[in-house]
Amino acid sequence: MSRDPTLGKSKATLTPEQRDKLVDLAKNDPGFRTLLKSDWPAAFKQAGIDPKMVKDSVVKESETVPYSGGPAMTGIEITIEIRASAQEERINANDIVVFDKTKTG
Amino acid sequence: MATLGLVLGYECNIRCRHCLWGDTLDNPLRMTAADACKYIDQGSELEDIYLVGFTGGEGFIFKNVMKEAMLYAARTYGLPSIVGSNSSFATSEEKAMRILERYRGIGLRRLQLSVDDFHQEWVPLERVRNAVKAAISLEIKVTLVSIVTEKTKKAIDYLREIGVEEGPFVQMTEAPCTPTGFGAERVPREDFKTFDGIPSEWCSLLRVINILPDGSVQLCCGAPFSLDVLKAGNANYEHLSTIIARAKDDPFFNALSAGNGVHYLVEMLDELGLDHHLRPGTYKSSCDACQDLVRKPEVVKALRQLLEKRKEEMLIARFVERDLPVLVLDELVNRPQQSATI
Repeated sequence: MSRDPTLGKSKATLTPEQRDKLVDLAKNDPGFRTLLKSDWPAAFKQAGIDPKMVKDSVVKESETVPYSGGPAMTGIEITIEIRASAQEERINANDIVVFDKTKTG
Repeated sequence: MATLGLVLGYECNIRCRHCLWGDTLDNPLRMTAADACKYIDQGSELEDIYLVGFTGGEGFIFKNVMKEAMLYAARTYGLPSIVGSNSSFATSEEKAMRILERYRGIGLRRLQLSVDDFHQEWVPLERVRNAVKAAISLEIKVTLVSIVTEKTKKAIDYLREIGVEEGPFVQMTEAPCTPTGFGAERVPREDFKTFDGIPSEWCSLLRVINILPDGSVQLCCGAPFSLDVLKAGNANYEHLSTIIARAKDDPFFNALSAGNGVHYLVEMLDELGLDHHLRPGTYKSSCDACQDLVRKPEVVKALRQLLEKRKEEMLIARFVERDLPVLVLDELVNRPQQSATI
């Protein structure tokens, strides 16, 4: 099955103390939340958490994932797969062939 | 987020007995092409939309609006499209080729096809096979979706019957049937798998954007999607980016997303002494547990009061549980030379 039960299980990457630190910063530092969104490794460094450790842990937990997914319309984990193929699927204006609306079922 | 899903209308040519839309299928409301294009404009401003989805009802019923909006998305933003269908259109492989080829020309790159015991009570499996084969020939990626119970055939069975294998252009996924819509009335209770405890293993919240024909923005695509409590706003009255930004900050949405379902809400109900609202051992899916809880206004009110005090905690939880793995894997997938594991 494409749906992967391990994807998203990154709890093990953070200790309760590290998580509390992130929550504390999110509560008290208005810039932190913005940084988290734009540059999570920098945000983690600010919280005293080694982003490499987090990254390695996430990858380790997900290494059996073939990053395939289902349709986002039904919400299956396709995000990564779509992003991965986004460039190849991007539509080039030259490839567009407009057809006669009246002739297609 | 990855897909901007446009529900063009509710009409469908079949009446599957598991359908979560239920009587809503009789609602004649349709999205106009102008509205669909407006939502695509707004969606393109979000940083993480890669695909435009068209569905119903049956997607191909709304072909005129779909064609116009699909072409608009491709021409204006280079955005590819996906259509959700029951394959009724594919009466022969040649006809499927003819239709899909033209849609490919205006941006169709993916098809989501239903294939399961419920749909195949109405649509011959041959049509799904026709659609899949035509799509593969045209290099349109197909995702086959099976809704299953304890008594139905499984996705892998259908893959075998269709005669294709999973690969670059064919993916298969399976989701448990949930007793909602017609499924609550027409699928025997004993057919459903019952989970031990309270299942909280999967949730689409904050992963999808579905816009309904009336402009409602729905960030859930599971069984509870029709409940107002899970609607994030209306794109006819507010810009989509405003709605999404607010939703990403909403602790109720973040709790559901981070917990892959009701996990955090269950903990809080225990804490609030409201655990009598839970029915462990009776739920048929994560969505079933969610709809049972969030349809009770008193439960939602109590949870929201507590969640407001834990807003940042839920935001971080959602980031760590859901966003972070995607960000990390995304980076690796886009730079495969650095990854030996994927």
